[in-house]
Amino acid sequence: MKALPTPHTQALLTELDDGTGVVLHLDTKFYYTLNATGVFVWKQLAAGPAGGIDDIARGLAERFEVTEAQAGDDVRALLSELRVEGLVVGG
Amino acid sequence: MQHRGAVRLAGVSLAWDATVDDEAESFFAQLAAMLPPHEGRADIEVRLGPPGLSLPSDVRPLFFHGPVQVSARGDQHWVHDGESSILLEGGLIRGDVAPSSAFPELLLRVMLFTALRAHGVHELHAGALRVAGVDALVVGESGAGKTTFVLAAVLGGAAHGGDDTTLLRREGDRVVASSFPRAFLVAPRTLAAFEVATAARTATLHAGKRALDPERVGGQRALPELTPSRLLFPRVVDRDGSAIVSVSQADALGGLVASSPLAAVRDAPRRAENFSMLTDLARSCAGFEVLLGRDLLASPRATTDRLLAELRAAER
Repeated sequence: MKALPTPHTQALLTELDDGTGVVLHLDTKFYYTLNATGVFVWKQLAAGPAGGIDDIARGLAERFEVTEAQAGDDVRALLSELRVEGLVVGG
Repeated sequence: MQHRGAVRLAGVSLAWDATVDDEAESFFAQLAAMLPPHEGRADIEVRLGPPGLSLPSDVRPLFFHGPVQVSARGDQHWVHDGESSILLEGGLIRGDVAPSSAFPELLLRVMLFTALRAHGVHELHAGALRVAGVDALVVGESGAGKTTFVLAAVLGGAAHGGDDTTLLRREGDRVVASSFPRAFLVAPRTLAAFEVATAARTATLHAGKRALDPERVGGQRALPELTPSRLLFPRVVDRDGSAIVSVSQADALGGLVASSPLAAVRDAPRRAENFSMLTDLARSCAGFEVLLGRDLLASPRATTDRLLAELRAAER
């Protein structure tokens, strides 16, 4: 199983009461808003290397109204965006 | 000429003693006119005079604020633009103003806002309004439509606390917003639409915009302080109808960060405190995007009344 990337040390998540969140990248000074599912994915990445995309997708399907297959596609798309923006490293 | 004064700004005492030209006098005169006076020793002192300082060669660049650079050397902060330099050290701001150059208002403002951070006061690019007893910040970068919406709201009966620069600080568990005294800069077309909202205007032009005395907008004095419970993010849109749309807390925090010059700059003094204040605002305030359509300038009174009614009715 391919290892998941981890958040860049200078990318800081602020979680908000409505489930959304903001990631501030202190190197680039750009900020990114995350919806509730994005926040869930980010926290899974921050929690460590255990599991893979399928595990995150399963977790999403349990908490949000989405199928595991759709959640897997969404996670892959999000990881791709996070890599392009330099918000995650490795994996 | 010599210009001296002392005021209280966002809970911090500020005194100045400056040999300045007419333009600089107007900067200080506006502070003196709009802020309560202070007596005794000040937290921040500004001394501007003839050249005497020189920027050391071993300063460490910290961040840019627009076209000016802020650097550090030990406990000193330097702000410079290639012509003039201003030094902040232990609450004392000393300026080295080259005689041939224009008054470096931007440098002084940047240094003043840097000095205020040591007192827990943080700059936000925002206007402020009180609509039917509810305090709101009008947040956005240059060109977002802050001034236009503040003028529109004043037309609709709101009180204002400035159109562009707000200073945030904590008081207990509240975040308090104070307006920084400066003229409203208004495009002629906007001014024509809101003529009735502006009791007076000055003749000065800044970059094609007209400068309005903030104490005369709507025939009322600017509110010195507000406790915001709404965040409004104006945006000029290419459509006919203006509207108010609720935004998520993440979008609200993102908008606040984008309008806080130093909240995302790692080496800015007390950055974490600045960011935490913005997070608290995003969490505690209802956030709305205010889409400014063509109807706002075409029929300002009716559109403003409708927008303010929508705002009053909006629930968290």
